[in-house]
Amino acid sequence: MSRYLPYLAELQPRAFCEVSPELARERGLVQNGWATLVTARSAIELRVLITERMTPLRIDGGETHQVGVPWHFGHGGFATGDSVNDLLSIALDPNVHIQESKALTCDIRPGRTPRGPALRALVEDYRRRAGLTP
Amino acid sequence: MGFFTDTSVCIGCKACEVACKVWNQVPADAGPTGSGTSDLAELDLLGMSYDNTGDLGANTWRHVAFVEAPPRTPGAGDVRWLMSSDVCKHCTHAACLDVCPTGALIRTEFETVYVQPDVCNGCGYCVPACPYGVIDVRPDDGRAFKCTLCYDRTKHGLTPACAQACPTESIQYGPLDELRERADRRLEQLKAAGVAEAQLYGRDPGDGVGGDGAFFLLLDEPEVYGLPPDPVVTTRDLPGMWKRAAAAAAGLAVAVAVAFVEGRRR
Repeated sequence: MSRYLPYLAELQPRAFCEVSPELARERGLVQNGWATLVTARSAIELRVLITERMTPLRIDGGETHQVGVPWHFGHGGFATGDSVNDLLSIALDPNVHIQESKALTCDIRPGRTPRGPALRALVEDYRRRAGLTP
Repeated sequence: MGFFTDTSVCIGCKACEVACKVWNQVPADAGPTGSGTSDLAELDLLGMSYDNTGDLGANTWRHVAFVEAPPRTPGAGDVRWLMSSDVCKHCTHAACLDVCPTGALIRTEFETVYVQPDVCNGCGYCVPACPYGVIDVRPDDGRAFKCTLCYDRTKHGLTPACAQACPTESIQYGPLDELRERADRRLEQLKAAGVAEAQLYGRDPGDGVGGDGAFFLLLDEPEVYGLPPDPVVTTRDLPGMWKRAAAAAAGLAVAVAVAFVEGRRR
């Protein structure tokens, strides 16, 4: 509902993702520019918010980056943006039947997401390279 | 009466912004700041942390700033995420009120500064007069608007909409001397807890604007929040300027008179 109310929509008018300055440098992301997030299921485009609040994690001696994405956007209303649900598998919490998957692996690249058959080709290519499809 | 905004407990929920707009029927400000467009297709991000309001204006009477300041000691500790709800300061010496030619801007019985929309003729003199850049003209309307400190609510003994909506009591409304006492106590408490940078802004009645009717407790220098560090009422030098202009005019008149008298003598 908040996307349909002008007073709320103007407070956070577009979908965005938060990345660390380190990840932005590595991938060539620019503040307020477009980024494409790709998972095994689909790809979405979001605006980039580079922030020191996101810091790379040190796991097993290697550097792992995080991308923070709020979930509350879609095509409807005044505050629009791609839906993060497109990236997720459907897994419901058994008690309350609410989407329970909140963390997943993804790739991030600068630029907008292709639409139509080109989007499918992009995701197919990722799947093939990841060995998910023969 | 006035506001004390304690930014140390602000959580950046922006409830004050929304409550203000709902109560005062201020239109949504969709376009780039100050454009005044209400076409919601033009909504966009500012890229300034979670702040997509930008600054105060004719359509924004409360503005929550999100500042991502580097840690005190570089490279040590987390980024300091400072949030602060800005508002019209309701100056004791208000320049907007001084320059208003129609008398639309008045000092209310609560010592607040109020624009009467039915008197304002939209000349815009108050806009550059404000040392904080608060008051602005609404382009599609022509008249100047700013925080009224909810005059229509306070008149009936209610708390202003923003203070009423604030869930952490970051925005407090009350008599100024009581608020100042409360602010001093809070500052002491924070200093004792080791927050050395904590400071009060606009609390001192001896400053350039005679003290603010809406003052703040900040966790860093005012510049970090986009506030002028040493605001001065812009009409401060006007009497002196008029005196000099009058002296110059008198001198000129004397010179002309002397020239005539001397000319006739020859």
